[in-house]
Amino acid sequence: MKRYQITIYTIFLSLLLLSCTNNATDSDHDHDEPPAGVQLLSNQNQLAVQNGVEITYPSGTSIPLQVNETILVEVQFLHDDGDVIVYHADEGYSLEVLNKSSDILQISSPEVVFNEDDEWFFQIRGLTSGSATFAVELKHAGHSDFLSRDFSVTVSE
Amino acid sequence: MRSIFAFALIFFFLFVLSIRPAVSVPTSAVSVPTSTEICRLPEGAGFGTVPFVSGAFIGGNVLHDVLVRSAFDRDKSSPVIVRGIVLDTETGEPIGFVYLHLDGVNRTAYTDKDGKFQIENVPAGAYHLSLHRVGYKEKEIEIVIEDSSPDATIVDVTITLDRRDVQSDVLVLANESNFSSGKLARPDFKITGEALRKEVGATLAETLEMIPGFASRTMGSTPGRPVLRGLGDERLLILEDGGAISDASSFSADHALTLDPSGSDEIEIARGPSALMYGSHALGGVINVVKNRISSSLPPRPYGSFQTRINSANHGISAGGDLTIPAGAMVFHGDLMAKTSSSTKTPVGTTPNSDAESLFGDFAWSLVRSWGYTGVRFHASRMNYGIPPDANGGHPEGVDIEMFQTRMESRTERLAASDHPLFKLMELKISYNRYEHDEIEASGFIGTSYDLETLTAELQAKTKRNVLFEGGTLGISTETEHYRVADQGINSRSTSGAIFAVQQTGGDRISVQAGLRLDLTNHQPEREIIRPVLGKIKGRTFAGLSGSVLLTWQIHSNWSAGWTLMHSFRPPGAEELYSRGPHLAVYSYEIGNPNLRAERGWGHDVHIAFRSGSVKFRGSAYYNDFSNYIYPRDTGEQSIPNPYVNVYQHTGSEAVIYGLEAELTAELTSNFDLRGSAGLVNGRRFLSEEEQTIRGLDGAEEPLPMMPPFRLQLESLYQYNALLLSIRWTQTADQDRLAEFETETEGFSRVDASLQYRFTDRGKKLHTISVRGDNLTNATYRNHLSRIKDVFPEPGRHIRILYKMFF
Repeated sequence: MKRYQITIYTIFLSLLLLSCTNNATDSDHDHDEPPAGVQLLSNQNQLAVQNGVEITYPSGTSIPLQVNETILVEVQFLHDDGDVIVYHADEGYSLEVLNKSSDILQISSPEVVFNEDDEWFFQIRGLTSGSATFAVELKHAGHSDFLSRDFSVTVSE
Repeated sequence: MRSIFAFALIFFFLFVLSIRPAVSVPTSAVSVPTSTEICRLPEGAGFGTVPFVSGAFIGGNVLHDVLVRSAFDRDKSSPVIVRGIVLDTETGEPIGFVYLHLDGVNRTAYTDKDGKFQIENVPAGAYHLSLHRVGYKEKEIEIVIEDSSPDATIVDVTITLDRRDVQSDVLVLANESNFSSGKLARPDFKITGEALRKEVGATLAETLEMIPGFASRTMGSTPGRPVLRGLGDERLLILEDGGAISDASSFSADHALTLDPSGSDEIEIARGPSALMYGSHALGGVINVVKNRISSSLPPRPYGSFQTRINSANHGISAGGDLTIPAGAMVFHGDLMAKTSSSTKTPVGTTPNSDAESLFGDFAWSLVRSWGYTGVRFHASRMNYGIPPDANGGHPEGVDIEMFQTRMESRTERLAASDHPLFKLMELKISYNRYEHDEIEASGFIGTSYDLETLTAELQAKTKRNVLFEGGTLGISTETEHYRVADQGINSRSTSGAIFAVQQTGGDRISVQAGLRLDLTNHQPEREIIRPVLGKIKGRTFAGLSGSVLLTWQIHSNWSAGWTLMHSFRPPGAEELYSRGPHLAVYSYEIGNPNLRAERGWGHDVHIAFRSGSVKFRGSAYYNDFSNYIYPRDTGEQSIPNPYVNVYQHTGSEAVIYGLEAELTAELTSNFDLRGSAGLVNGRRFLSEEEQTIRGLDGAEEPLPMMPPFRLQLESLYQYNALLLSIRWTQTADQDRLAEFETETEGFSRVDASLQYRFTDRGKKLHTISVRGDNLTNATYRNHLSRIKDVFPEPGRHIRILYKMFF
């Protein structure tokens, strides 16, 4: 009978060892803090900033844009103390811009300039006059880490 | 290091327990250093590492051999076998498939087709043997095994069972009898036989939701967890064969309970002192689903069952079976259950993405000898199910959850020598559990994944009569858990240990059960850092004492009363301390609180019961007072990283939960019963002055969230030979006592009916068929405890059919 006990407990331990070899949660999935805000810049000038859930603009209540005007927008994500956080594309991060007014605004696919602090850019171009909105989304490993509130753009003649 | 401490504590306690009086110490002295050396955890080794886990198991068995075996040397004792036959009172014919349960020593058995049964290794003492069989009245008899009869190794009993008129006795109120107990030391009641087959659903919550006092917290057809008297999650422990489930169902509403109720022999519910054997925080009580996977007795011959079930609400089909085979001194057990269902139909349409598939399987082996028994069990379950979409846009397509769990469990019981002054027996349980689940967004990406690894060890000793008490249980337990959640914050490791004692005493009219438990818990994050919003993520240690007293008074031959006092201690969980991240499946962005204090509660329960011939009544009043009720509070604020979901902040608050319950059963004729029940629960939390100022409130209190509304039930039961018909009307009131950001739920009426039939196949097989029609009026109603109730109502009119065959 001892033999049976040994056999059963050997199977028990073998299965136990097998069960301990797989870690389902990859360590690279456990990334840093999500941003607490985001700011949009053009030629180093601030276009808009989201701090917490509120968006503010240096002047007025939207980003001004002329019809057929194209501006290059740099995206910087912010820590809750206002510092810029850098997310690197080679660590699985990517940027998406959600155009919610494609009849008024044309938005290019975001691009990243690889350097010590990866810089994220996209272009916006006014198509017709009117009010438009868009949002930026930081993705990591395919899912959303941060989705901004809607930025407003006023396109005028 | 803490793991070493926890296991060293266990070893020390084992050692203390193993010391016998000088006259009884065996000459083969114990080599304690050897066992502790084997179990030593290398410095810095993490939980989940192979040396740790395997060492613990090897250590456990060696420990058992070296310590327990020597202390419980049975050279002076003779194992007693209780065997017998169960007969029909009217015909005198043997009754097969009777489920027998011997309290106090955790022994169960089934009669074979000739009505015979056998229960091994019963120590001296007085026990209650309870018998359950569909079509027959419950019976409980007292069996006394004399201490001074070493030669009486076999006790023969002949038991007769009366045929049941109607099923009103099926839901047994154990408090009305003496120290009747099952695997729990003293269950308040248990659900067996026809009642179990009538109520059994796809989930445990669905099975219990119509039982007085219970409600069901749901989120679609599969994620569900019972709520008892407004208390759920960590405050209502759920066990399988007396062991923890170790899943993530208590963390969040979208996490399913990894327990299949369909193969259970009985479901026990206990509150008060006996709950302390399983945890310090179960103010709501303990639910134990009894399946008897590791057999403690040798059945006379192989037995098993097959069952299949369909549900028209979601085209659900399930099928499975179990088989138990004795082979010499060994018993092998295997079971399998597969389920599949589509999305649920409601009166206003189909609830999208509420389909599910699941598979549960077990294999168990045990060896039953004159010294006791030892056994192991391997369990695996896989569940894939959908979470309906969030109309607000958090996950407009819904989320799919894939869940996988493996559990390995070892149990060894050793009988004490008959002249041992302290103990009847000792049981060592060690289990390893791995639970993983992924929450997959519509895009196919994994949004969140949980990975829990748990190792538990527990030693219990059943004590003999002593100066103060008639007997009870002493125990020590330890648990280590590695908690890993992607995108939800910091991973952590938790270690806990506990020592407890539950004892009982009493006379003819008054009985007392008392329990005391000391817990020590440590949560250690993988990194100690400062995070925005949360603050400093740091290790936390909690120590607390919990206790309970249950007083039962037989006032008169017909009247009895009882009072339960319980003090609970609940350290916050790792998810409540450290989480920070989106949990789209429950439309929330969860934020923990690393500074949370432990939750402490005082619970009072007073009940009175009356039983006279054809009338039974039981009324209860309860009041639970929490000094720091921990819950995820909907702040009403949008999450910054995800505008579609609100921030849920784990917070502690002064709170009370109180209520009334009543149940009346009247046997109008020999085959017609009427039953009524009502339950009212109210939960309120007290706001701090700071919160009142911030929110601009005048009142100092407001309702707690997720409190069940008032419910009234009337049920009639009619039996005609082997047919049993039941019609039940349920009226649920509006729930307008609302927490912040909760929405009102309208009251509703619901009518259900069930028909059960049984027949035997020349005594070789027992067949039972249960047909149940739910929500026959096709009412559109919503469950206040459903996280999706604002969008999707409960199922419309549907039929459930269950066929079960015992062989």
